[in-house]
Amino acid sequence: MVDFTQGPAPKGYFSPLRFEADIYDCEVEGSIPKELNGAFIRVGGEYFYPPSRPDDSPFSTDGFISSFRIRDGLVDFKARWIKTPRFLKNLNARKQVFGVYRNPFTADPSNDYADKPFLGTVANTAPIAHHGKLYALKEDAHPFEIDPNTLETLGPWNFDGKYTAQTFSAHPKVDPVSGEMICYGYEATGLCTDDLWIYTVSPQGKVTREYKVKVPYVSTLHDMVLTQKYMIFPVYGYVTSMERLRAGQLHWAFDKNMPTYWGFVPRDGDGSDVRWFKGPASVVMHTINAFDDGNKVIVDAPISDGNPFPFFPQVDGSPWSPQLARHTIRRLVFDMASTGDTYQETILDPTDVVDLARIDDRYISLPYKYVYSSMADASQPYDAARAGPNRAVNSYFRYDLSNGEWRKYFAGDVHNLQEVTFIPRSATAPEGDGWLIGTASNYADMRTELVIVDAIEMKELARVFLPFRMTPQVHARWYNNTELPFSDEVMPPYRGRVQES
Amino acid sequence: MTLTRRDLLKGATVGVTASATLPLLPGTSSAAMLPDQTSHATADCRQRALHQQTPYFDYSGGGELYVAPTGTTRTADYAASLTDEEFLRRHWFR
Repeated sequence: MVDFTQGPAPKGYFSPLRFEADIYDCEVEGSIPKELNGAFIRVGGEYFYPPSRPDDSPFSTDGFISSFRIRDGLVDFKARWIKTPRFLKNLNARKQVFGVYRNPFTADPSNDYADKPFLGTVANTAPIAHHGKLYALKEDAHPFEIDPNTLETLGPWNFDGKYTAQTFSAHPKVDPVSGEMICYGYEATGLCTDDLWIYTVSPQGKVTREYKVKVPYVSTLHDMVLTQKYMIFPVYGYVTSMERLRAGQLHWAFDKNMPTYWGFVPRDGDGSDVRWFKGPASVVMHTINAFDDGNKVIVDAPISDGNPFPFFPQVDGSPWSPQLARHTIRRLVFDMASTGDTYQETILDPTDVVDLARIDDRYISLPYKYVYSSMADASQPYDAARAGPNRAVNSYFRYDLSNGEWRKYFAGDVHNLQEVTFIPRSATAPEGDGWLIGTASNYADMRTELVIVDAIEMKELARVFLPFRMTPQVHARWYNNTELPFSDEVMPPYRGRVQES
Repeated sequence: MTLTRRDLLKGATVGVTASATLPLLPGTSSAAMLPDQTSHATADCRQRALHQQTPYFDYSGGGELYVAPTGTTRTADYAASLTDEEFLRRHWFR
């Protein structure tokens, strides 16, 4: 029998939802730009069955994908569980039969898929579209292809067997110049292995190159940055080991004594050409962008000095530090002409920001100007009586790297924003000319709202109301109707009886 | 004491502090749910916490305690206004 009363959120906004949803023609306030024809696709997760242990990481939740399909100013919403083998096996058993976060040794031996991670993943982290296909990603396994119209799961994909790493990161990069997707897997040859395997995928979906790299120590390589010359990978303080896993612990713990490494792989070289730079302890869970500047490489990222995730323990047993979990936007400069292994790191602004930062994706790997993310703006009102005492991330911002200007958008006094996405007004529009889109959790009215904001004026243009709260996302992206083969049908064709008279 | 779904909605027996004393499952000790007691915190020191819209059990005490918002739905008031018989008639899931 299912029982969530002993879980971390048995009631309130974050209590389990467990349903799939279709809403045709959503309620809209304001005016959705007519140019928008595509879908805002979110991937996140929640437990369909309670985890096997209460100390499991929230990153073990079952994958869930949802889509706001927008065209002609109208919106249709759809949400589905990602039907991984793990999800289906749990459903068949009517209980959780898998162990804790990325530790197959905590599962019943019949569900120990250490050598076949696609059987144990939850695919709950990010969507990516490339070569006309949509995938749901989690970094412990291969991508799962999703039908962009029905959101039904089409299964794991290994690129016709050419992608031979066992894992695939949640943050591949699509080069706007070549159209290639740069993707990679860490722990590529099995649990706790120091193999980082990198691949390029052509705009037609074929694997064209493979690079094999050894990392300085086994760590999360959650995100990367790309320039026109280099593929760049941060390695930082999370550590793991087979001993740790065999002891029944979560996959990661944080070691504040481990240095940060940045690995540079020339795009025209191979894995043996990797060059590592070394710096002080930090966490670079997410990146912003990078570009070449003569013999230098500029990397921007929201960086914290300590462990941002309180559910991953410190190896020394010290308590989690909210102060060290704060993220600031930093610029790192690497001198590729030098013979040293150090780099220059500058905090561009002391403001505490959410590390889910985004840019105009047409500028990935290129010089650029604007950073978008969200923040808890304490100068804005907050209705704690209705929304509860937990402080909310209430504003999106645009940060201008050229002059340090901040522009902000406030979503409301009972709202908590999720990751923002930038949509260009057109393929040829200047950088920053377009819209911001993202979902907000309305804690008071217990519903999810989609906001669409003018990205220059930072003014709200439209808000879409779901009549319920939706599973929180991890990452989301906008794809237009030239990037994915979206149908114009509002709902699946009617196949029932028709009465003529 | 067995926690019922209705008690939970009424907020009669659960809260941030009360939850720490609840068994993980009826008839199951917390030790049985945590096979590696040397490396995992016990249920006795866990608190409901929230981080970036993610609820979790905090064992170190460093996290932000999660308190579910009252909102405008007033589920607790609604549940408390009904007799047990009427509640079960309307909500047959128990």
